Amino acid sequence: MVETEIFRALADPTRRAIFERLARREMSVSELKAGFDVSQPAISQHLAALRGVGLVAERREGKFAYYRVDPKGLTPLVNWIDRYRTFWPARIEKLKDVLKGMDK
Amino acid sequence: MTDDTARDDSIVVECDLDEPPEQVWRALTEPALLAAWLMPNDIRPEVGDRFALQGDRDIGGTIDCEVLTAEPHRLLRYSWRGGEGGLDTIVTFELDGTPAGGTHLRVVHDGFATTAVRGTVTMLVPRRPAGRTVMQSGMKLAA
Repeated sequence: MVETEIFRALADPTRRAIFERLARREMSVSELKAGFDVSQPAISQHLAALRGVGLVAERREGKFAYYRVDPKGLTPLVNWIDRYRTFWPARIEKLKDVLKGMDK
Repeated sequence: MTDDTARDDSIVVECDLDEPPEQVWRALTEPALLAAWLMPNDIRPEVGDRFALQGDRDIGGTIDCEVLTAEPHRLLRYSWRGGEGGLDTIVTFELDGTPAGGTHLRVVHDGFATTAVRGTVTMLVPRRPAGRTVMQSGMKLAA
């Protein structure tokens, strides 16, 4: 499920930090690297993972690439949580019926 | 059922039932009764027992569970690992006897958003209209 992939992509602390920085503004890989104690290839790998699940979008300008958060990327996660929001009240209504039908 | 906004990362549903806690406990822990309102299952209410809830597709298929707490007629808590890849959440049922002889039931489903993910969700997802329904969960998706 997409939701699981999103959770998994954000489970890594460095990746999450990258995501949070990109949520503030668009950055290039070298700008991103400035704040972290990790190599540029490592940053690129994290970006690829975030792009893979649709959390980050890339914009190319000549030979430069810029990255920013794609807010739509979190939609599957929110929908998944919403499913459970309606799930429990509906099941509790069924539970009430079951209780009424039980032997005392 | 009422809203509960005490927790930010959980879904909370509360209701008052006419039946006593002993009877509600049975509906939560006897496989045939549980199947009638939740899902087909092989639950045994003993700590450490692993069981499965046979969910349909919309809930992500089979839910793998492990009983974490089982205090008869009072408290049942189990892990809820659902869907491919399995996201770990926890469901808690709290039963309180009422003066009228019924049960106040509180269902809490939490662990959806780990602290970290919650932070990013908070940052990006616009706030939903509040008080839309009485079933509104306690989860806040925006600060």
